[in-house]
Amino acid sequence: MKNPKVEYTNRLICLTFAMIFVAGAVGLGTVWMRHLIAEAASETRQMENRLAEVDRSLARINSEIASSLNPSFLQHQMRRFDLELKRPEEEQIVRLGKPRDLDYFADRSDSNGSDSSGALVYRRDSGSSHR
Amino acid sequence: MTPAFASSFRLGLLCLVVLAGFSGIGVRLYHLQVLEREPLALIAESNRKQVIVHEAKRGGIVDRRGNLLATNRTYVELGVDPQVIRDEDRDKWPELAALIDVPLEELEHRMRTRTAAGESDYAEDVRLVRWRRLHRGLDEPTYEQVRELGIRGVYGNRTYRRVYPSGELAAHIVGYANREGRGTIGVEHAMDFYLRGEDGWMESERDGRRRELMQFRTREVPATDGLNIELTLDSMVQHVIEEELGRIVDEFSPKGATIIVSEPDTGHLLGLGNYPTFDLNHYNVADIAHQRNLAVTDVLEPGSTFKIVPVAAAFNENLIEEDQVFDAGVSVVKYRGRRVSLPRDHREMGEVTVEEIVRQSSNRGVAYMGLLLGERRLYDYSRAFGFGERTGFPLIGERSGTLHSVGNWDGLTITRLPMGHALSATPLQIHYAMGALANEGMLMEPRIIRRAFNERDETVFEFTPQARRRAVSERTAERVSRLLVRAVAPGGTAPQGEIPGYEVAGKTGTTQKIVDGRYSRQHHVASFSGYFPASNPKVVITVIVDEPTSAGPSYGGVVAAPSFRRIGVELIPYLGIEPTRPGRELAHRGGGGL
Repeated sequence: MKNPKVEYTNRLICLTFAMIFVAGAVGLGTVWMRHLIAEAASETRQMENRLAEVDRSLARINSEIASSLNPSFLQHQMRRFDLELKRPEEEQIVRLGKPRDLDYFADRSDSNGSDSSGALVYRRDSGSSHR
Repeated sequence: MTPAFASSFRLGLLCLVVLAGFSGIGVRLYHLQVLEREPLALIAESNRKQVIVHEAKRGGIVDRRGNLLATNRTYVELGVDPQVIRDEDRDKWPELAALIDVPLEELEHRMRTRTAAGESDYAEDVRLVRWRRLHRGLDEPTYEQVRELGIRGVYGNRTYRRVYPSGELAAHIVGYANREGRGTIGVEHAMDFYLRGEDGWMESERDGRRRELMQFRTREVPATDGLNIELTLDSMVQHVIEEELGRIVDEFSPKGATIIVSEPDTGHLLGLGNYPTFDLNHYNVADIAHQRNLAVTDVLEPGSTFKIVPVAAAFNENLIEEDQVFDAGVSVVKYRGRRVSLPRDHREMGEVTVEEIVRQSSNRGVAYMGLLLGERRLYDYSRAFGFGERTGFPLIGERSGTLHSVGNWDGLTITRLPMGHALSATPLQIHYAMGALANEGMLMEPRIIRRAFNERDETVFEFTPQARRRAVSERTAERVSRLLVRAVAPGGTAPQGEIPGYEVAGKTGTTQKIVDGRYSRQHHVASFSGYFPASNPKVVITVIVDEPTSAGPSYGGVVAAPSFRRIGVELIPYLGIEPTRPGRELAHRGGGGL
């Protein structure tokens, strides 16, 4: 038969060890979790840095494109490559009038009324069928 | 027997030493944690915590076709921490000096200076230098080369800086933002509030090496980037203007020149250029006088370009007809019971019709219009055309010009005002007065800003065309236009402004400048303001040249009208302006006896 005092002491020791183990596990878990958080934060920061880098490159490229589209620069390039581009003469220009169909529909729209989108509608008091 | 080493006395002494040690620690802890708690806590807090400011990106400025006129670009501010440089890197210093374009001696001086005077007055008070600037604005590729050198302690901080890809193009319109990011002139100034956005910030912590511990970020307020601004300006039209200004400078070496191009029906400015001008990317070295937008800051006597006002006013009041005859051969007439002298013409004219008055730009003839109108109506119509008041141009520095109220007129004003004397106006006022005739008598407000939009290209707000008032009736505008077409045709004052295939309406101006209180024969302002096609105007163009030097006379028709024509010819294919169809010319329309 076991001595109750010894049994109590053993239980106390076991509980103490268990407590130490749980506390250690919680502590280690917390440290591990913090480590993961720090790693995730570090990755986020790297992504932020990459985004900032892309942003900077974009700004640089945009300004370079804008400089390249500057009329003075284009004119300079034209001279440099001896392209001999010229403004079109009046007789070289063909102006396309408005298609007749559009005029027809515009007239119909004016005479019959039109909705805000420009589609043809018929007035209710015109006596014509709506459907 | 040997006595025990650990005697009671020794044990007691040891205990005392240990106790004293712990007591010392306790006292120090009490001192740190209780007595000096607050200042030390503050230091610890400030070392650990940090507030990081997110700078808002300044919005861009684009023209009506989306071409960038102002944007941001990163530059690197390169510096050195003299405390950490290594001797073995010294061989690389000459290469670094060459890359950043700094003399080697100066670079060495900056690298070696490790201390600086402290903040107190004691001579021996010094502080360690942890950062010394080597270069203010290094571009990214050069910075990469610097980094490849691998010099310890040399590093850079990136900053956004304003850049103007087109340099001088539309310098007076776009304006610039200074190093602090504040708009100083032009659209940069006028729209600064919308362009600059709002900085954001966040609270965070850092480690012993001053690196941010991102996981301890707390409050974070994101930055709101500035809005982008779209102008009514067209880069190509602006380029045509500036090319022409260059030609004027080469040919006439003027003191100044202004060219304005706008759409008559909307008041949208397509281009506005001045000479002298400056490069927006180097505004800090530009002469302050070159930064003035002459089109709105400088006033001049409009001269004959003003004659459209009394003629239009007289038509509008039904006081004259096109074929009505006036005697320009007399020099004095009676007006309300008193004798009034008429101004001289550049040549004797005799009897002239209203059409000839406009075509030949007769000072004496147009003085009759003033007399027919009377002081009050002449003044009212001058105001109606926008003289003597600001146009509503949104950029800074606009002047209202001078148009004295009738009570302040002297006996000659009634005959001198109609020829554009006794008042002053800005080039923009002259331009928009002409624009009113091109726009069927409606005076428009100048528009240079079309809209503000965000990065998703959503319009946040828009500036729609705004009419200021009706200056004259539609019919009057058409009648005057018809006369102005004759002024540009052969036999008029400005045949050099004619564009084949197009009806051009316009008016020249040649103003003697007032030098030492009297009109000078050597100092002129030559101008031409007109529009085309006269029957359906698409563009209004004004060219004003201040003190041109030429072998011949500096008349507006000789100096400014050819520029008008050259600009017009360039704009026709670009803007797709159709020629006037035969039979549809304004001159062939009814309503006049021409």
